Amino acid sequence: MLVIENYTKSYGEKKAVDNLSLHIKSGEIYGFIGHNGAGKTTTIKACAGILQFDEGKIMVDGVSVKDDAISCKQKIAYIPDNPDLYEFMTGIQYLNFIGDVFQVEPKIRSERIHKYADIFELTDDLGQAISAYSHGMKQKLAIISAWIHEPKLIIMDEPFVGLDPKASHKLKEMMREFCDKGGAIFFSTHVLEVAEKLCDKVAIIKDGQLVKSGTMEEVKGDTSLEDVFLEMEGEEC
Amino acid sequence: MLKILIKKQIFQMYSSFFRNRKNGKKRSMISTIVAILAYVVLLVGCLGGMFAYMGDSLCVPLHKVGMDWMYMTIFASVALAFGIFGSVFNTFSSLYQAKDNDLLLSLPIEPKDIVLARLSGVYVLGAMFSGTVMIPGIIVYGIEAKPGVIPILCAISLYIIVSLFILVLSCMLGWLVAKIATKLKNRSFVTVIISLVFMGLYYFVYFRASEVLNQVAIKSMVYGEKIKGVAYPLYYIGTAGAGDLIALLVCTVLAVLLVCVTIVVMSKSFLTIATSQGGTVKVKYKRKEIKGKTVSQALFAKEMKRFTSSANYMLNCGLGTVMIVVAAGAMLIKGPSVIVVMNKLFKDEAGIIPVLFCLALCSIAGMNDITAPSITLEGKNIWIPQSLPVKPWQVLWAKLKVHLSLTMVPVLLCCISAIIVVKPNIMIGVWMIVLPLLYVLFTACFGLIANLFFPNLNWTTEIAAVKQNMVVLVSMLAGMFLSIGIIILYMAWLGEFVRGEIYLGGCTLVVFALDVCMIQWLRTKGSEMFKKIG
Repeated sequence: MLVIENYTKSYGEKKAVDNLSLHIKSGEIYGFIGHNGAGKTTTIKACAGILQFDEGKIMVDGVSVKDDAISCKQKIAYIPDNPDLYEFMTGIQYLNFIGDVFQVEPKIRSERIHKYADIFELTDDLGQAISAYSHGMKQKLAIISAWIHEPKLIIMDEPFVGLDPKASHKLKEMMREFCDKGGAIFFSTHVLEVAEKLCDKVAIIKDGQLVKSGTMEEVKGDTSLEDVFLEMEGEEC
Repeated sequence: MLKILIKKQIFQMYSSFFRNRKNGKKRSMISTIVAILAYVVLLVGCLGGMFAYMGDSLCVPLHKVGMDWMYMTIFASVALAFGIFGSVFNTFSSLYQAKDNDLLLSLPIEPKDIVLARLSGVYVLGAMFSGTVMIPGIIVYGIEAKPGVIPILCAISLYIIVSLFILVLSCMLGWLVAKIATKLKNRSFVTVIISLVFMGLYYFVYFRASEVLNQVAIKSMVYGEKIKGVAYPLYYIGTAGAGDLIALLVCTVLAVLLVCVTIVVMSKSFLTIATSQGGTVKVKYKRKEIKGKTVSQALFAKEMKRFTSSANYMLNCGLGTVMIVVAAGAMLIKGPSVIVVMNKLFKDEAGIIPVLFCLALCSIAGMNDITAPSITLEGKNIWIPQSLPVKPWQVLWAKLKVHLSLTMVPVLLCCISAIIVVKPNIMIGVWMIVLPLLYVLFTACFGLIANLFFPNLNWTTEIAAVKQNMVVLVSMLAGMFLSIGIIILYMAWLGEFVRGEIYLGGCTLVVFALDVCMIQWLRTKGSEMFKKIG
């Protein structure tokens, strides 16, 4: 579903990501781990088609992000690390805006909006201006907006930040359900316990370079993901 | 701490002078000086010149009859009104709506220090506005009345006192606006209506100013006695500016006292208002039938919502919509008498009148600059249009459509009014409609292109994105200067050789060609630039 091959992105002289290759298949939840500034967001933004890159290729469902970004974006839902949404809209206006852009039929859209809003207990607040939402509520709205057009691939940057435990639990369930139906999820996280329990595969990036990737068992072996990560970072366990 | 906060506040207000908004890099010393000089020349040249002229017509007559105090009273009053008018909404926005309020409140900083730092910004802005009135007034006074050193020093002191009064009154009105805003649902529209009322009053006074000034100069003694009788504080302020040291001392003490009281009151109420979520009743969402839109309709609706949800945006960039409708009405009422005057002025070259009207319509058409801050206003939301499956051109076109839909209809009304008044031949009549409408497209595209070159997504207050945005000013001036250039070219040179309809036809072709080029650029290179912003 998502193929990243020899992806390189530089900011001036500095290489933020260097020759990264990852393959994410349908049905997989793929975790992306690394320290702050390792290049996770730079990679995720390029996959979402909002960051131009220098070398390599990124393909979504066989279509190149560079050559046909619009087709790729039709199949993607992207949730950034900070849910900066249109504060001049109400929650329902924002969801309808996303539904209109993805041309989701009104009846189906309405059902999905209310299904997911009920899951996140946000239905009563959909009529409020987003400017009045808390960080967690904005994050929930961003998640609902990602699910309403039923994408093939969901790309998320730190999706659990700001969510309460119940919402985090619901999101994990939704992620699993989405992938079980044939979708794919590529997300970054700092919460290693979540990654360990949720992900089918994981990649660890350090200073822009891939240091380890594979199934959870291949990456962590008999130890915990935290131990592996700290070892990669050169810390004593 | 206070020093750091004040430095941050002032730097934030005038960051474009010191830092390139496109690449975030520090400007060179020369570039900074040029930017500041350009701003000063614009402010002093345009507004200061107007007030210097006012001073010139009042100073000698009043000085001759020993009523220097009245000269100072008039200038102090105008400066007060001008300063409050210019800074009241900035006070509201920078005190209560600043995006970094939460951040600063979370730091170990006294709310009083935050208020003081914010007030320093308000003071600087108020002093700048009042300075455009007071400084030319004092210069004219010094040159024409030659009052000596002490009265001039008193006049300068009066300027400082007036700017302190502006600070106090702006805070009071800003506080009132904030209080009202927390209770209102459609606050942006209410703010716009209140502003329009203020503006109406301003223009009413402005258009009657010349008549009033003449009256004051002729009947200065009568008005002087009236002021002493019914508005003694105004008389007292005037005497302070004209050299009465005791009056100056009293006014200074009063101004300082008022500022101290303001700071205490503001510090106490700041926390409550700045952290208020609006006080509106939370309405439970009820499920409704959803009506779908096309992608283009959805993007247009989003841009329209962005525009109508912000009083700052509507007032600074879309006021032309109202003004053009007013102009259309005024043209129908006053137009025939203007035609009579113009016929007398240009009796040998009557063909020039329709051309002048048509080009005036172009000037009017350039009054709105809705597209100029539209990309900057995306701010941290820029990831949304960039990550959605829409072409950048679709996003840019939606921004253009808001400008066109809000400007073209009023301009068309104005064109029809002009045609009714001027009664041109068919050919000129056609140009009188086509050229202004193409001109609307020109200003829309120009503003958008300028903003693509100079986007600033990292603003902390909306006012910085809209009001303190150089792109908005440049776009407005470009629209005005081009139409003035076309008028001058015809009147000074081409009018002798070319018939009006041919000249207008040529102008229409040129503007059409410019429109086509700009749209083509937006579709290609502009779209590429939009992808890379952020």
